[in-house]
Amino acid sequence: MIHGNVEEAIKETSEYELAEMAKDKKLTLTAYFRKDELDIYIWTDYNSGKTQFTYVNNSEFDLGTLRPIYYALCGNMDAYLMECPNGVVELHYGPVTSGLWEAGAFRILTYGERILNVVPELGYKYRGVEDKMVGRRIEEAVFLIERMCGTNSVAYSTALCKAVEGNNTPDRAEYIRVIALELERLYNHFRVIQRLAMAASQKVATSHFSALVEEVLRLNAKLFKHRYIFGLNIPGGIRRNIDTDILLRKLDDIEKEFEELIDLLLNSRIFIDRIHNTAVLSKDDVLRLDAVGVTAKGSGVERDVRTFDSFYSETPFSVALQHSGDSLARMVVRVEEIRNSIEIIRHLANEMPQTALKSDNKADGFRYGRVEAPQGDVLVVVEAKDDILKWVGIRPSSLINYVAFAHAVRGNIFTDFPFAIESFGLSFAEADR
Amino acid sequence: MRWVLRGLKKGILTTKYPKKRPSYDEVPEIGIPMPKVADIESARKYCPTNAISDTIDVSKCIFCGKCEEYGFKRSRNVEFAEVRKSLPFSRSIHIFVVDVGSCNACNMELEMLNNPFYDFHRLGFFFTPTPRHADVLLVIGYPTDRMIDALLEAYDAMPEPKIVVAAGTCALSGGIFEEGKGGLERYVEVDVKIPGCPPPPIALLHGLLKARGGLSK
Repeated sequence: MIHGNVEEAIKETSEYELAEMAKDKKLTLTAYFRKDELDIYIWTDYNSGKTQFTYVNNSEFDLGTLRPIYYALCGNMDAYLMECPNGVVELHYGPVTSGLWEAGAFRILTYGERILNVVPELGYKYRGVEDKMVGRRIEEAVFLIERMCGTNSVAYSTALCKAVEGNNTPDRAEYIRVIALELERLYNHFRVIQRLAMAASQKVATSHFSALVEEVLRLNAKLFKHRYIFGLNIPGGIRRNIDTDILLRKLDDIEKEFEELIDLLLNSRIFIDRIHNTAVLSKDDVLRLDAVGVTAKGSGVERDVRTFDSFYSETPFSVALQHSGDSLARMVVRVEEIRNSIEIIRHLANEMPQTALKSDNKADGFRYGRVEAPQGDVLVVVEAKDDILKWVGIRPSSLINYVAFAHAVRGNIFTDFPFAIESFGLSFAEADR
Repeated sequence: MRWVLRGLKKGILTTKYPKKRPSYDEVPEIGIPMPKVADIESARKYCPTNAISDTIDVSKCIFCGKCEEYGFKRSRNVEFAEVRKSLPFSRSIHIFVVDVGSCNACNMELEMLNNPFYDFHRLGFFFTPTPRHADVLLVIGYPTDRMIDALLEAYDAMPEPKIVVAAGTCALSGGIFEEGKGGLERYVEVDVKIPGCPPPPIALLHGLLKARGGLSK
């Protein structure tokens, strides 16, 4: 949970300096927002953990040639479209599809079985969350941001709350927030493994893993009175206390069950054959496309905002890295993260301090908050005054990783498509907001 | 072989619902808030979706927990499905799901109906990949402009008799996204309403059973 003041950190740059920054391989382009005639570029150095803010006044500078992710951040997905040569078919898949997929479409260029290019088409789920948050009281805005992406609700609401409350959150609130974040990571990762097993028609493994997802959701419901932990965060702290006995007891069961299942699944050759060498994303691709989270970690790039978070340094947190960059690597990263999350939750539940749950601290001004969501880090930038939001910018992790996915799936054949997309764990609701 | 042994060892997980009431594990206090010793005036003032009047409007409640600060208590009751028209079938029905702008939580709750805890196939419900085979159009999410055409197209493609089930507060009334426009009923007639944000699997089962008319017989 990184947070800070934007106004103190922001610097004006010329277009030349901006281009120099874009050429610097150490910096990652995290976000781009347009606010009152200003173009705000946000950069992250994942080695030192420093977030840099720069702005350019009234420019029409096209950063996309240096940083392809710029187009996605502008909402210009068409920039990734390729020319459709003779004999190549453009397939439009979505938005209403079979099964329980989200409303989102893909434009797929295909030649026979081979996928030449994929461009996700956003906008079907656009609910205008950022616009609707403006002018609301912060407490109500938290309800809105939770319902932007239900499966990452704690990550977004924590980022928003950290942005507006500053430093003095009570300890117990911080502990419970991190427990909620890690529980969210657990069920999201279980779900990704379940969907990978489903794509490989491993019916028994699918049932076992979806039972595991349900176990975590039921645990959430008992602890937080909501299966997806909506309504936990309020600016200044949290709303509910939790019972750590139930948590610890259930966590032991979940861990035991998971270890047995993952042992069986990773020894299933039929399953491994399907995800090994599927949708390979090389280390250079990650650096070029500024991918984040599990996607980057699967390709051997350490990008996790928890590494430079002082709160996590006191917990048994460690970064899981894999180097092959295929669907299997991303799944193994998830397996390691599940084990690590269980350890973190256990550590925090045992050391929980007895303090108040909320304080009345409010930090006005132009501020930001960053949290590592299950699929990658998310950023929320807000301008608040007297408990009312004046401006909101949200950078979802799925938006970035859709571009990485579209690159990784090129050259694969159609039957690999579900394995590719499930291994990234993407959500249209999050990318579209 | 090891998978088979594991399955046997695990035993039966499936809920006894609808023959028995849902257990505490299945539905803890995640249901509709009830005024116990409540400061109803303040709760009404601060409710983000104006769901509190003399009664609680379940189609507007987003289960946020704000009113708990004013003395409301969460109940364990999640079965609030409201039925205007049910299907004339008593056995198996096929469901086509259209997501018109959900937050992914409703999608996940529908996925959870497939898991061994709820296993809704045992009651004769099936998801179908095409509207041509569907008896029920299940709509989730806050209706966005671009999804309306697709929704109406799916509705037209379904054979008669057909009903529309709206699940989740966003589809029922717009919930927190609403700006005076209301939910799905602007576009199609909704026959069964399943409240919840998102509706837990037991609530979905209850709504679907009612849509089939299985409970009344």
